[in-house]
Amino acid sequence: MSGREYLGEFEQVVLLALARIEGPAYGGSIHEEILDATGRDVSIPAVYVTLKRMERKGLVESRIGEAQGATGRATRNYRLLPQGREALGRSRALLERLWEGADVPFPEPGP
Amino acid sequence: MSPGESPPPHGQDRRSRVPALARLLARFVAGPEDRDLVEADLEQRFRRLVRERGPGAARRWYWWQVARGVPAALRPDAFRLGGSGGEMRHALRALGRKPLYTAGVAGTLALGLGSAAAVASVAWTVWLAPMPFPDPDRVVRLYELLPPTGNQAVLLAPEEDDGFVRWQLSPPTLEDLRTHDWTTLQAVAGVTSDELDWSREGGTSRLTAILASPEVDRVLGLHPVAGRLLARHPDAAEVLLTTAFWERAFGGDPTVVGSTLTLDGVDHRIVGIATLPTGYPKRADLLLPLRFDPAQLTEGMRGARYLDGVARVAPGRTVGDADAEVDAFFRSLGERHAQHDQSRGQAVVLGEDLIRPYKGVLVLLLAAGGTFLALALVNVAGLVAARRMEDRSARWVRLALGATRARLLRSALVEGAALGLMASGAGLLGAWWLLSPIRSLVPTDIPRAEGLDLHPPVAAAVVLGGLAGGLLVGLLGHVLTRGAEPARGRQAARVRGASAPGLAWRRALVVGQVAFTTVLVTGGLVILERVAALQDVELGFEPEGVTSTQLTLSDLRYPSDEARADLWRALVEGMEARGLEAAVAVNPPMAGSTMSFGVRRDSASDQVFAQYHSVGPGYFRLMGTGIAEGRALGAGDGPDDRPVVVLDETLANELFPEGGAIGQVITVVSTPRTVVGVAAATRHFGPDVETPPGVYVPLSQDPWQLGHILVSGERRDASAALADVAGELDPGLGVAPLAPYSRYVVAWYAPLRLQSVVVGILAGVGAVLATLGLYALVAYHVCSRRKEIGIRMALGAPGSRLFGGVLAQGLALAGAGVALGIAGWYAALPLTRGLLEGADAGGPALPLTVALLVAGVSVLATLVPAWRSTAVDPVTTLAAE
Repeated sequence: MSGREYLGEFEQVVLLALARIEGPAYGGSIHEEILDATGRDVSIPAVYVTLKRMERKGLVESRIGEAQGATGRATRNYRLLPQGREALGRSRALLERLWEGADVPFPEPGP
Repeated sequence: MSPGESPPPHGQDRRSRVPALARLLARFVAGPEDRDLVEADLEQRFRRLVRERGPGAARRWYWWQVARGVPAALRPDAFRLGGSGGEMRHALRALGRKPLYTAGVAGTLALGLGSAAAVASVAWTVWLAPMPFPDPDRVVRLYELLPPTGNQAVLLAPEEDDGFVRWQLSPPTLEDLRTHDWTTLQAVAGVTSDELDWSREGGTSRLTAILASPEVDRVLGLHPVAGRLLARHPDAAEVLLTTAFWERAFGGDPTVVGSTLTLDGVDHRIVGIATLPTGYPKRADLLLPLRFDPAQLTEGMRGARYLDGVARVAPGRTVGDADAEVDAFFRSLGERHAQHDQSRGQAVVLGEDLIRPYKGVLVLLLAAGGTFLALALVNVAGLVAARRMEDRSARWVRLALGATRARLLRSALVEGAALGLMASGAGLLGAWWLLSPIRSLVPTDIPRAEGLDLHPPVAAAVVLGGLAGGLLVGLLGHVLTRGAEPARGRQAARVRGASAPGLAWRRALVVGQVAFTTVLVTGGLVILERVAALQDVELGFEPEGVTSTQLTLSDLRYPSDEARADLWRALVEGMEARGLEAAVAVNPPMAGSTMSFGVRRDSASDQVFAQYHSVGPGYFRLMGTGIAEGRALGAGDGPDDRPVVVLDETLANELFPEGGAIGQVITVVSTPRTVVGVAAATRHFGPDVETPPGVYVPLSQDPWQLGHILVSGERRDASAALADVAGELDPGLGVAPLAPYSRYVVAWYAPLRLQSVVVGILAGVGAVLATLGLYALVAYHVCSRRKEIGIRMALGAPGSRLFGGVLAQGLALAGAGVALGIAGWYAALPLTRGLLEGADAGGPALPLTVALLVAGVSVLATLVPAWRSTAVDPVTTLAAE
């Protein structure tokens, strides 16, 4: 992957959720994190497919974790790699540059 | 597991379970590595939702989850590095390692796809593609329906419809229709065609023109390419050129608009150029206004039904509404005009009406194409099954090396897709190749036949069909070997066990295919036999060595009987002066015309309808039609001489069964004529129709405008001489070059030839498919019995016995198929009576020949696997097992 590529919106969401989770992060917990933080009930298979794709791009890495949680089943745990952090930073910088000088009011927080 | 997350107790609402199909889809979307994890995560949340929001909401949520995962899974970069391109290369390499199998599967699929595509192209071009008008389903053709009466002279063969005969429209009827105040029709137009002489510097050419009412532009949606369309009320004679003629004759020069074209001696101003829609009206050089002089609109002309009526259905109204209003119109016409007292009317969609005579054949062809495609798929399945039995060990090796089953499925699918694409390519090439002979054989009177090509929708269907077929092949191969994993320790039992029920229906299919082929080949041979038999039929005339051309004399230059008679006579005399034998005839045999006129022995007897011929001196000698009694018509039968007639044998026998026709006076149409001779009967409508009764009157006593000039001798010399003679008599005559008279006979055989070619191709494709099916089945059998054969050979069974056993097995299947096919042939005989009329279809010789042929091919199909069975090495086979 070239350093000039930017993340897709869903990729950013998944990577940011991964960055927020303390401790082992797997598909289900990333889904929960997104749901809690944004209220968006994203597709669990899509989260997995996106994580797999980003792993191939070298943004995250995974390893099969030990059996854990209430279900007692094994999970694939993901970790953000430095390239993933860089990609997130680039995407943020791009957006901030664009926001500068754009006269768009910040939305009022909803009820 | 916490109590809250336990699966629902037994017997609880089924709705609180994860939807099975969605679960399967979720596993597919997640990919092989994560599918269990995804399934567990989904299940966990699903359970929570069942508790919190109920099972319905939870199931909807599950489906929604899976559906939104599909686009992510289908992103191109979702595939592993190298993408499917790498897999495709791998699949192609794998296929290259088994060339026979690849060629067999791709070839069989291509055969099915190619023949289906060729057939579909014909159907698409002439039938399924929308007609090239705006809103083609609103363009209708109008007919007058009359009960069959039997006392009308039939100039244009009418068609039967529900006991009524469909007739075209007469000029007065058309004018009534055009001026009627319609609620369901927007515009009504009359259409007919004509031939005109175009005089210019350097010669005269014959042009075809469509004559149409001005409303035709609204009905068919015509637009000028240059200039304008014909004016409703022009102040001078106008003509519109068709694009094809404009390009051919003027090289597409736009400055011709506004100039003058001399047609039949009258100057016409070229007002514009327009493209006529393909398929309707027929191809032409010019478009002229259809106008009638008062004499053509008299009551007496109501029976002259030769005009096509077309109309456009008004917006918001249906064809059914229009049909009802047209019918009501004709019924009311009967109240005003005695000629229409029994008339009904009909409006039918033009596109459907044009294709109606051919629809049956087209449906049959499409069905045959579909059947072949299905048979090809079945045979491919057989080939794949046979191959997979051989591939079992390779698969075990891959599994042992750590390949997942999902990975194996994917490579099987990619391999299948590669095969399918190869087959599509070969099928498209095959169809394209097949279309050129079909194009030359399709009768030119089929509408839009000239546009026959491999059109994009058909090509796209072939590629998609090939891909789908290939994927099916891949899936089937995967499924057939799925149980064959060594780790499960039950491979041999599973494979043999699975094959037993499948084998029974595969056998039945092969028997069915052989039977189907037997019927097709027998049918093909019967049609060939019929063609051969028809070629031996005595026609009553000898077309060899005779050349002819058709000539229409212009009304303006030859307005009277005298003028026409003089010209016809001068033409023949001019040819004779150059040492060539010539004659003129109206309505000569097999030339496509029919003039059925009434003849009476005396005023008390019934009218007999006979083919009417007006012929000049020398006609009988030139055409080789023998005179059985009396004399032929000669130069002595002039316009002022006693009216005479020559009967043909059929009519002479009908009018005078007791004999003695010569010297009798009969009434031909309305003229009493003395019979001076009896000529041999001719097959006016072709060798398959019994000789109709015929009368010959001297051309000088009834000089028609339209005649055939018949010349005996070498075509080139005769053509030059005729052009010379015509040029001397009238430079504006525009005589077309002579062509062999046998062209009519050849053209007559063309549809029959098409029929034999179609049946031949079908029989050929069917035979190849059946042979492949038989081969695949026997090969599959041999492979699945490899172990048994190995043991037998190890026990000392001679190779020849095994060989014979396999051969016998194949022949038994073929024998059963042939027997079934022959039984089917005899059972279907009553249905094919019409098609095979005159052929000896019921005899035993043909089916026996076919049985031998099919048996021979079956032996060939069985030889290879039989030979391979003896090549089984007992040591290797037993070690592998």
